[in-house]
Amino acid sequence: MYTTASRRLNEPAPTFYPVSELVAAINEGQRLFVFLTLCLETTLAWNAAPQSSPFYSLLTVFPDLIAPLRLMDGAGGKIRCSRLEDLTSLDAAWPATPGTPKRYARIGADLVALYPQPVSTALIQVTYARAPLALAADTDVPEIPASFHNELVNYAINRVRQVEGAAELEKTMPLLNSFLDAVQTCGEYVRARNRGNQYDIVPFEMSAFDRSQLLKVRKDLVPMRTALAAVE
Amino acid sequence: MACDVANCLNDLWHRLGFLSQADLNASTWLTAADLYQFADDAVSDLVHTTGLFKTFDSSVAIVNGTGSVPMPAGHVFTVFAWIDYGGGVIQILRLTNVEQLFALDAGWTGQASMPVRLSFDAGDLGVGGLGTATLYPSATSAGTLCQVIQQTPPAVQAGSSVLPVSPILADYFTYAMLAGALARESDHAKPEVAAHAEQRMALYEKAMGQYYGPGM
Repeated sequence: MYTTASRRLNEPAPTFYPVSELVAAINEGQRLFVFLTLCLETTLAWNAAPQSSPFYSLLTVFPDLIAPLRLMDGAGGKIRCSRLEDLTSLDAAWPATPGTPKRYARIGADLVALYPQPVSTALIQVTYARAPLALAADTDVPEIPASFHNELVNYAINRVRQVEGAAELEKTMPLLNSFLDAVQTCGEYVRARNRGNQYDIVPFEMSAFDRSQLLKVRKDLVPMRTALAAVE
Repeated sequence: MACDVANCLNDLWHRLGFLSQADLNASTWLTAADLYQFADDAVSDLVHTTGLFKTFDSSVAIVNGTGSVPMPAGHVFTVFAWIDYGGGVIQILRLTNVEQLFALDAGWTGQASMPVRLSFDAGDLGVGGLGTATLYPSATSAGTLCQVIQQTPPAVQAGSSVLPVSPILADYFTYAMLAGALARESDHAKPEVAAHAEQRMALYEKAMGQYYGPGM
């Protein structure tokens, strides 16, 4: 993929845009794609040990966590996602109620509250959206769906042009727009799938995001004016 | 593995116009300390605009007669609070503003019993005022104030650069560093790229708001 990007940048072999920079750009594109679409998920076991508070940090258990999608108990029953207000309405002393977890509340980056609080180690199957593995070797294949791999090349070309800025960056904005279109398409598929699976979180609403400012390079800022004047 | 902002430095040298990471390290117009400061500024913004940095805190002790309690260092706002009296006995506190306290009880300042409400605007303004919360009624038993709070993490700097968020958010801080560096007045300034980097940050912030909750 970095060879393809290099050729599209008019370099038969990576020179001004070194291989390390192209690989970093492709990796960044994959990370952003996964973050916005939540298209990578995994299910792993979590042994929730009893503790003094009902709140647990999932990042300490799953280092590649983006967000939890679904929790299920050891018997395969769903642990329902609730808000803190719901738990308070249900049980005025819920932070100290012991039992087998039936509900959970998700707060912040990775904080999860279990209700009731486990009195012995509870086996919970956690399905979560995860970050992709970094691409390093020439034979590594991106983990996102194959039909979107070419969009990573588009993203990389836009990113490496940031070093030049001005008109050179502006010329690659349609490539970034193409990448974001792919994010929207994949995100809509994942959203429908997540709803069908009764997951507790859906991907970012890319269709509702105003891209006009993101895809515009401001011509009122000095280096852009200088570059345009030189062209004229 | 949480998000280590130090890894972002390796991703910046080419876009900042340097020949290598070593060339950036030897730079005089931009230092690693500057880049960490840009990332720390971005964290300060995120703390107020998204619900990213929520944590559980049980460091505040309640003693008999306590009417006002100090908040933990870095406290921004409280999402949920209760007092743990031990032995499985707890009391959830309703977050209440001072207007509601006066509507509830005109003599609320003199009441003492088991606290059932917590107010963040009933105390005094100024040093020592902000950063405290008022219990209603004042406590008559010892316990521990347990809270879910939004808390500003320690300052991002060399040697202390790990943030308690998903590692996939590292690129947000990379763009924060890029925006800060290129917006500075210098021979290397690229304000149009800095503006574009800020728009990319805005995209991340929108997604973070949806996934992790809103800020203040």
